Amino acid sequence: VEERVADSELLRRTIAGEPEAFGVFYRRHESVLLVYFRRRTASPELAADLTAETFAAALASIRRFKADRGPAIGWLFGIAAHKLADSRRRGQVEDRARRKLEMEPLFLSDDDLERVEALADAAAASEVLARALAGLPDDQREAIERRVIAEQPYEELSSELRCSEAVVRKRVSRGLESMRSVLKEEFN
Amino acid sequence: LSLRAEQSPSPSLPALHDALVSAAARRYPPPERARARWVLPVVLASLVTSGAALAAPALFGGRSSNDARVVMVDREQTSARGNPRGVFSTAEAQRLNLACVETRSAMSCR
Repeated sequence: VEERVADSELLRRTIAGEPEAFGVFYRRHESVLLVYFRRRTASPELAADLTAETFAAALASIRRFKADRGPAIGWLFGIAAHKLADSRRRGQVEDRARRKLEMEPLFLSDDDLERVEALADAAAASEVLARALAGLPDDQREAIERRVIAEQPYEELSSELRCSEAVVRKRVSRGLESMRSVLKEEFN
Repeated sequence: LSLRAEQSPSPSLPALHDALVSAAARRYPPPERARARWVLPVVLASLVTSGAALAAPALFGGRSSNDARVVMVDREQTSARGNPRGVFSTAEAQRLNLACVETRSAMSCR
């Protein structure tokens, strides 16, 4: 199954007897769901447990997904929000969907937990970076976007931005320095 | 980061990935496997029906046990065609492509 296939098509193929299509759907949305739960729960174990139950519930009720009512990611997050609210009310993560599908309980290794934490940290850092970048003056932000993210050569930038290479370098340097300060503040 | 995650095929929780794919295979089997799961109860039901045909041929329009040995698959089609529920002649079953369990049914009829 190709990664480029639309989510709705992956779900359709799952029902049609292509289980690996659900594997692709899972890989595509696993990290965002893990991060979603990790930010709202006290531990990576809980986040993983809720992720497992959410995907199991999605798999069990896949026929209820209607592509004309919105994207599959919205449907998936609807299930996730429901599972989260339910776990808070009950004080534990339910495993009804997993039992229904006769899935074995999920045993997490230290590596698994580390990966969940790394995902959450990376997502948090990514947000702080985005905020720091957005907070820069326009000329510095543009210089960083072009030079650091798009990796355009200084010579090209100088020509396109109609200024000397030295000016572009200064904008990049000042912008990065400002972002560094924001990050230090956030993570200290 | 999100782009990298999209390009990477490896899940953070590989055990969960595998468990979900296995569960998907069980819950939504390929059509031929689904058909196999569905045919067995039909075979059993048809054996019962065929037994009834032997015991009371008049029920089935006076067909002989050899004639009534076949099986049926699609109840809607069966009733729509006005046949006795669950029983077709061998020829009719072949014509309607209702194949599946003819042999077993025939064995049971004999």
